[in-house]
Amino acid sequence: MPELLTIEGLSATYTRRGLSPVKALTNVNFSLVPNEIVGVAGESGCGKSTLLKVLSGLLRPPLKIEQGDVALHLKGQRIAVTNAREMSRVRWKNISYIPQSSMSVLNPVVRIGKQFGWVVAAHAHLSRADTDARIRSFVERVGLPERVLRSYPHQLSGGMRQRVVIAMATFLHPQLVLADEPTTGLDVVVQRSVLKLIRTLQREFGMTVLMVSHDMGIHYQVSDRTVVMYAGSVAETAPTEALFKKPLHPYTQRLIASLPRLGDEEKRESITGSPPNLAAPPPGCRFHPRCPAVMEHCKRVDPPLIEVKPRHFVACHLYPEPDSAQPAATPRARA
Amino acid sequence: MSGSLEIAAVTKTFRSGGPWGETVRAVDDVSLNVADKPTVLSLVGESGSGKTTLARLILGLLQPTLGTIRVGDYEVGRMRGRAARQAFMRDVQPIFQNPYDTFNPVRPVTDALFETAQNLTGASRRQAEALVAEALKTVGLELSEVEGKYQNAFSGGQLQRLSVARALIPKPKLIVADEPVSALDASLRMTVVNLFAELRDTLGISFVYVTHDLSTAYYISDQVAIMHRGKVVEAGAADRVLTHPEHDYTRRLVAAIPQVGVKWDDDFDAGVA
Repeated sequence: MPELLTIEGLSATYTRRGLSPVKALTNVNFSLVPNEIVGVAGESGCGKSTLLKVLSGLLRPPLKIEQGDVALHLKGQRIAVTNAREMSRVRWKNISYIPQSSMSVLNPVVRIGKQFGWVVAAHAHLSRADTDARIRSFVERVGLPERVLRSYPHQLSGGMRQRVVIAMATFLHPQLVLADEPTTGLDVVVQRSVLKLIRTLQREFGMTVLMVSHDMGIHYQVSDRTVVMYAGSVAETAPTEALFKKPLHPYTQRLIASLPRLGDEEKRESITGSPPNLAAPPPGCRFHPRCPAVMEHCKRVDPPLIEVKPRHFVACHLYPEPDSAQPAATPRARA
Repeated sequence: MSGSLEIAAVTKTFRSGGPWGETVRAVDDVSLNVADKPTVLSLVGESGSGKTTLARLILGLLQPTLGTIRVGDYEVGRMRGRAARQAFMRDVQPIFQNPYDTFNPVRPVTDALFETAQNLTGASRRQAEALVAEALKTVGLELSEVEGKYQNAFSGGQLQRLSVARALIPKPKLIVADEPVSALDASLRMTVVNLFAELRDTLGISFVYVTHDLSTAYYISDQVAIMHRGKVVEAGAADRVLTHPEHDYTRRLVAAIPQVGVKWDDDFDAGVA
């Protein structure tokens, strides 16, 4: 299947004068194909939000791409995310964004309907009446009463506002939607219904959703494929079911094993130690100071991401490369 | 005194602002009992359910509009005199959600610990040092490792361990922890949660654990109270309430947890409002 987005050897830093640069992303490789939900999991500081910033083309100092290539592939046309002009042309229409906090993207003093109109008017070439009718029916489609269009953001609950933002982000049927912790701050019952909405719209429109969340449970429920990040790199990526059934990276294994479950009294342990400071990351594998299976080799050499099983990639010295001459593999598979 | 907790028909109302302000019943006729033995009671609910208000009432930071709360021999908020209030504060200690708010960023973290020791126990500086060192040891830290350091030198997990150490200094009977792990990463959370269970078992401290996370509540609680719109809709042994919920709201809540290993139905919105 053709790729929709490719990330090749991406390294990005936050650079501040007088301080050592923070290596937020180091040699990240993966790609997205049409019509899938890909979850990005990891703890705070693992680089998942930086990744979204790069993908959406929001590259402002102190964030800087040091190396690598990130590009969208739309109908045979290749658009580098660093091309600000091209990116603003495709934003909302081909690539859109669901933020963590809907309050921060909605203007608090403008009615929802008007804000919705702005998004549409900039990209769709429709008559005013036609647009209005379509917005009304779309708002109902995402499970909101029509009156929200006449409301101000503060008059809506958190769940309703998140639905509004999802409606705005998907109204023009973009190929790619970037979602940054889209249900953080919502109650679990509302969270479930918002996730269901995202998945239903994704399936219906055949969109690709890249969803960042720290909650492994959400990825288990919603993502088709999960990318586990640690300290700025991809530790493991696999189809979600395989990842949870048989995680390969010691970090993923420990992370999943630390989650308590209802009806299961077994003792759960945290991973010892803390994530590293990215201004001075440890040499070799970044997980080695916390890894129960650490070997001498791990302290010196950063393991490349290799395909151990079909579509299951892991960056860990426990899994030797099948062909030692191969350079770091790029996961771009989807059967 | 003991760590028993008796909440009897407690209601707390607030008036929202402005001349047309409405009265909100944040806690609505709640009764709960925790026996006089080391217990972890979880107050579980979503935002606006009243769980934090109830926690603040137990700590004496708020006064109930109606009803009474007794912790051991004290009726919360009805202590006469400074000595009695201090004794209450020694016995009932708080831990808050955000450890970065617990410690003053421009002063060494140990200042907060020494202050707690000196203010609540009347210890001299030297005695305080012994108390602080002992409390730190209980949570697996050494005074020499943390002394003179500021909060930015610690990870969230370490800081939350320091807040637990701070709470332990006056040798409390009851610790009220309001969302103590929600600001922590998944890989660090269980350290703090396991520490509570350990302190219950070794030091006999009871906990009120306020959370929206049903999985950790199940993991450490002896008892659970599910709150919804100010009311306790279901309470009892944690195992029973969370694995065999009887109230419709508890069922919906349990069904909506994104648990690893329990896949939502294909139509995973079924039965969810």
